[in-house]
Amino acid sequence: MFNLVKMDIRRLFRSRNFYIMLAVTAGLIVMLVCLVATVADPGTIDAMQAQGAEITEEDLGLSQQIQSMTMLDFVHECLSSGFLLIITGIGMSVQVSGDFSSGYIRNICFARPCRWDYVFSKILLAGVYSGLITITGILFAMAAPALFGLHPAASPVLSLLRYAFWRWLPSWAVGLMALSLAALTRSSVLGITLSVLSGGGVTAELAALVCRSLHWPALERYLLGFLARSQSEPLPGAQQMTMILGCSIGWAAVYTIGSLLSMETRDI
Amino acid sequence: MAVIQTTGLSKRYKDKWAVDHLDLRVEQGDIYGFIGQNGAGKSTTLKLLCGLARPTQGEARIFDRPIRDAAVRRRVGALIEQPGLYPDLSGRENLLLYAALLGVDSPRRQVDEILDTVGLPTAEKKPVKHYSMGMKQRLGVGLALLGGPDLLLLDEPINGLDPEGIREMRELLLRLNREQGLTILVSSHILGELSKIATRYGILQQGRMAEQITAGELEQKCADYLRLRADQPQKAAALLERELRLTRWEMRPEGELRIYEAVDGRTVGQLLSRAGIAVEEMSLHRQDLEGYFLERMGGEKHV
Repeated sequence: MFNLVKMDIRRLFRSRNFYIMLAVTAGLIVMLVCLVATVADPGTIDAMQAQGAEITEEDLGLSQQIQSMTMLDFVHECLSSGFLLIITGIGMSVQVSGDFSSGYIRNICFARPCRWDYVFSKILLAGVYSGLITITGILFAMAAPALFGLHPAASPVLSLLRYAFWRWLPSWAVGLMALSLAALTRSSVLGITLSVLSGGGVTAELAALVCRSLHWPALERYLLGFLARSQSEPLPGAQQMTMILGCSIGWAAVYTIGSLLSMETRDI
Repeated sequence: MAVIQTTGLSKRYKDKWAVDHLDLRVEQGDIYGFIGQNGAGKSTTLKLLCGLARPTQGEARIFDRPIRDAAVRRRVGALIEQPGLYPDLSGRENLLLYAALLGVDSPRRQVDEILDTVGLPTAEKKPVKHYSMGMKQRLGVGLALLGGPDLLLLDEPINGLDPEGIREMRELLLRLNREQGLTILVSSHILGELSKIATRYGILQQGRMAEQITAGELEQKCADYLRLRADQPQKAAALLERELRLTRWEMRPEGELRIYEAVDGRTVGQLLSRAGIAVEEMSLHRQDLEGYFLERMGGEKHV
C-alpha cells in the first residue's frame, strides 16, 4: 500500500499541473497583498482625496486596521476566502482523473487489486496536496507584505501552525470530494466545477436558499465552503473547531465511501 | 502444471455475454495464441485474468491460486489494450513510477535494462505524448516485464509496430520464453505472426472457446496435401497406396482423397489413367493459420 503512496508522491512532484497550481496560489496571494497594500497606503488615500474621491471614516479606519494587523490576522485576511478549496479541488481532480484518462489506472489496479489501497493512497495524497497548497498560501501571505511596504506585527509560530491546521482540514476534505467525483465519472469536469462552486460559496448560497424556502434549519453551515469562508477569527473558538473538525471528517468519510464504492462496483 | 486455468469463466454486460463459460488452460512454458474476431471477448478475458473486471460467473486461477492473490500478482505482467502511460512524463519516468509501485530493488538499473530489452533509448527525455505508437507499445511491454514476471498477458503487443519492430518483438518473446521459461498468453489479429511463435492456440468465438489446439495438431490440420476426386475413389486410394507406398493419406466422407506426402501430381494422374480411373479433380491445397481460422469461423469475416 505504501508503495502506491510513494508512487503518487513521486508523480505529484513530477507533475507540471502541481507547480502551476502552486504558482497560481502564490500569484493570487501576491496580487491580493498588492491590493491590500494599496488600500492601506496613506499616500493612496491622499491621492484619492486630491482626485475628489469621498473618503469616509470607515475608509480611514480600514487603512489603520490593516496597518495595525498582526501577521496572523493578515494571513487570515488573505486566505479567508475559499480559494484554497478551489485550488486543491482543481488540482486533485486533474491528478486523479489523469490516472483514468491515461489508462495508468490499469497498471495500478493490476499491481494492487485491492481498491481500498488506491483510495487510501489518494486520501494521503489529498492530505499532502492540500497541505502544500495551504503552506504555500501562508508563506506567501507572510512574505508578500514586505514587498509592498507593509510590516504586520509578528505572531507566535504555534498560532500560525494552528491556523494552518484549521485551514488545511476543509481543503483536504474538498480534495477527497474531487477524488470521489473523479472515481465516479472518470473525468475531471465535475470535480473542478464543484470545487469552484464550493470554494466560491455558491453551493452554500444555494443550500441556504433551499433551506429558507423549505423552512429547514440552516444546513449550509455544515458545508465545507461555508466553513472555510465563515471563519471570522483566525483561530476558531471551541464551537467552531468542533464544527470544522466534525464536518471535515464527516464529509471525508462520505467521500471516501463514495470513492470506494465507485472503484469496487465498476470495472477498470 | 496449468499456469492459467479458467472454469466456466463468464462476464455479462447488460444482456450480452462478452465471455461465456470459458474453459481455458495454459500450460507452463506455453506461448498461447489467443485468437478471435473483433468483439469475440479476447480483451474482456484478459481483463478478467488481470482482475480489472469481475466475473459474472466461474473462476480463474493463475499458478493454481485465485487471481487476486498478492503472491500471484507479483509473478504476472500484463499489457491490456492500449498501454497505460502518463503522457506528460518520459518513458523512463513512467517505468520508474511503476517500479516504485512494485517495490522493485534497484529500480533505476532494472528500468534501464528493460528499456534496453524493448529497444527504447534510456536517455530519452521526451514525454510519452510525443512517442510514436510503436514506441508506446514497446514501453507497454516494458511495463509488463518490470519486476521479472513468470507469466505475461499481452493484448495485441505488435499493434502499431513496423515490420522490423514486429520481428524484434517476436524475437524478444521467443527469447523470454526460451531463456527464462516465461509463459506467455498473447492475443493478436496478425495470425501470420502468431503462427511463428505460438505453441498452443485458443480460438474464441462469441465469448466461447471454439477450439484449443496445440501448434503440432494445427500443423497437421493445416498441412499441405494433394486433393483428388476420382470416379472410383476407393479403387484409386488402394492403387495409390500400393504403387506409391503411401502412409499418410485420408479419405474424406464426401469422397475426397487427401494425400499428405510429397507426391508428383503427374505421376498420380498417369497411374490412375492407366488403371482406367477417371480423375475429376486434382489440386494442391495449402492452408495457413489464417485460412484455418477463417474456415473455423465460417467464412471471410473480418479477423
